[in-house]
Amino acid sequence: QQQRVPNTEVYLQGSVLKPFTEFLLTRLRGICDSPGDEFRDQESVFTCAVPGLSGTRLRLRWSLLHPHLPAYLRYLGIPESADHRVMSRAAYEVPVFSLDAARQLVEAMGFQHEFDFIAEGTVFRRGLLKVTVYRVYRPGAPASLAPESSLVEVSGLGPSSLTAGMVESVLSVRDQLKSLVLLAKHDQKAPKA
Amino acid sequence: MNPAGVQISAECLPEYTVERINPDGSEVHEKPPTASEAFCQLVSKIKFQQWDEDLEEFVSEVEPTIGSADEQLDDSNLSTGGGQQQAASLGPANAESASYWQNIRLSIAAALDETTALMDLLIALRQRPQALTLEPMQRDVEKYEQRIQLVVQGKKKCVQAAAEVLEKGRGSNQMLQQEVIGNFELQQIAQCWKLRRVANTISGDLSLRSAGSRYPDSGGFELRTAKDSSFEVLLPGHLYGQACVQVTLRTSSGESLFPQPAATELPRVSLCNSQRLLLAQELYNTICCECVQAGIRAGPDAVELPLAPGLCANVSLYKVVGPEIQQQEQSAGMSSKPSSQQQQQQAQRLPRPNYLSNALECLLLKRHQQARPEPGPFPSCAPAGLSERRREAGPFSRPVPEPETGLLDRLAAICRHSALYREVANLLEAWPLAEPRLVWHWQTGSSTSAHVAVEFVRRSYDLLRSRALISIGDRKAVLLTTCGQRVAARLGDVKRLLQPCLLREADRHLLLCVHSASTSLGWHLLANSSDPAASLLRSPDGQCSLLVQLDSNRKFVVSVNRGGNGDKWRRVQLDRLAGANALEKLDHVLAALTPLSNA
Repeated sequence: QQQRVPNTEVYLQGSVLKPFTEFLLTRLRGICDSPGDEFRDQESVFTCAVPGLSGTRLRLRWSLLHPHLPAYLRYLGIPESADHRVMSRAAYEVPVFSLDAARQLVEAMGFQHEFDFIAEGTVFRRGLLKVTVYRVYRPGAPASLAPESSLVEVSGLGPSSLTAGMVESVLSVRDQLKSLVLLAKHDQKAPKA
Repeated sequence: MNPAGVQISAECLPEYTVERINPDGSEVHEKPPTASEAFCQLVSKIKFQQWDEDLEEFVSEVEPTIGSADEQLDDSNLSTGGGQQQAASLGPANAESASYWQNIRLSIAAALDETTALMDLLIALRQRPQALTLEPMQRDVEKYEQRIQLVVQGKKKCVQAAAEVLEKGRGSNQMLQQEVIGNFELQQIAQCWKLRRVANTISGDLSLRSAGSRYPDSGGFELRTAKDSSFEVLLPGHLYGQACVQVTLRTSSGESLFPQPAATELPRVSLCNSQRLLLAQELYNTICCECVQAGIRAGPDAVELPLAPGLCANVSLYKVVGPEIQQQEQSAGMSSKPSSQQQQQQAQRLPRPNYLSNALECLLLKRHQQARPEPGPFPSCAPAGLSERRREAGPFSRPVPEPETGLLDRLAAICRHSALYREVANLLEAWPLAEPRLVWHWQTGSSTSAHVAVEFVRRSYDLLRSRALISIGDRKAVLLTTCGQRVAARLGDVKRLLQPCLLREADRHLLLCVHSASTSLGWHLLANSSDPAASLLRSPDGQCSLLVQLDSNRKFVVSVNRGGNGDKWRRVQLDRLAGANALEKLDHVLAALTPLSNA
């Protein structure tokens, strides 16, 4: 029986202030293959209620602008620092064609709905890499959680055989955007209240 | 440098006056006088001439006491038996001991002099205070002016140092401003063109690869910083210019089917025009490749495509590359009289693109759009590139693309449609009849299909209209009438096939008008014929019959039969009747023949 090999996601994150967002988008249009596509996605995060697996999370994400396209149910592993220059983590992704069925399945597996958020921004492609510049909103809230800045994420998803190449590509994009945004590794732990 | 403030140091005046400034910039300060020097200067200003006599008496009184003090000193030296010998025995027993004691003696003598002078002063103050005047120490005028100059020079030096700091700041501010201007220009260029930093240079991309083009030319250019911190563009030689592809339709006799626009464009060098040059090259190369595959001969600048017998499309590439553009720009403004050189240069002007050229360019851009990668990914967390297996399977897989038709076939279809369109338009505009009139309305569906609705209208107050529809495709034009008749005509046969049909429809409309007028007066229609066009009418009382015909010249021929006798038909001379046209005259005839009981 063949086991499904998880993909590895290599990523770097940063932020850019509102006045410089347009400069960043112009630079990305020059270095990426695609001219940039607007997106607006909603993501539901489910936490496992089973004792012993309480830290496990599943994420269900779908597009609000293209509802006919399939949604994705994802599991993201713990961020690893195998390469000191970038962050990497295991990523499982499954396309789902029915949101209600996916929610029912996840809840039947013992997961509880934790929170929702909406991500709105622009996504660029450069080979297998994706560069997203977006803001995060609460559903129903008009203002972003960080009104004066946008999140910038450079990520690449692929099998482990392509990880080395993706790391180099991510670092190349980081160097090209160095003057506008500082992409670096960030601590993924939630801040203490 | 902190842009918020600039530190300027200012020197205060030195504590001591500057005596002189050496060439190396070091200053020699004038040392202040010591107490004894100041006292000696004061004493030198004392005037002793007014009271010399009293002074002599005082001195005579005081001198013995001083002399006794000296004798005591000498006696003490003698009593010791050679004080010098004893002194010499105390100090070093060599020549240096004499100078040692000499120094001591001189310092004691100086102190004695000062003490004596002080005593003299005190005596003078006690005896004759009003005779002693003390004048303020007068400064040396020359020295005073020199000191003033030195002070001014010192101040100048302080201000000069501050001025240098300010000048340095102004220069750096200017450089920063120029850098900001240069960055703003770079930002403006980056908003329109793809720029990339390679090593120490900035390279740009003119190609349409991001739009889906697969032309092998990279279309790269460079940005270089000019002396005034602005940017100048360096284009490769083959992209330095302007070009366009022109498509024209010509008949076998060489006549152009569409009138050429008179205005022409003067070529200019710009990034947009260089991109258009690249697009024109790609377009012409694509056409030539397809011509070669189809077995059509293609030249370096022009290609002739046969469309139909007697009709061909000419695709030409007009290109102006090189420094001749600048010469043309200069010569255009030099003089208003066209010289032979200008006439030659005018031949190199680019023609304005017509409808067919724009359509061809749109075809190429559409092909680029089809080759462009899919937008997304949506949602953004989806993988950037899907596998082919994923693309082709599932309910949301990408549809199988239709077999792509070449640019040449599509261009031929557009050209044929344009030629058909022109023929139908000429047919309608050259309508030979004054009655009924022809009114048409165009409806263009796409570059290869159009429709025109034709209406036959009478110059009268009635609203009777007859309609016909002409559909124009890329191969043929089809005429549909209200009676269901359908006539198709290919390129070159439009006038020959469609015009007779339209004329028959016009005749039918005229007869329809006659029927309408007769029916309103109570007449009955006995018979009707379309070819030849004729109608037989009977009066309401049955006593009169009317035959209305249209001859070959589309003129009404009206015959009347009274009394129901079918043999005696009398021709009505419509020329002698009053009326604007034959239909109005026929209305008069009908009215005259209608019995009063039915009017």
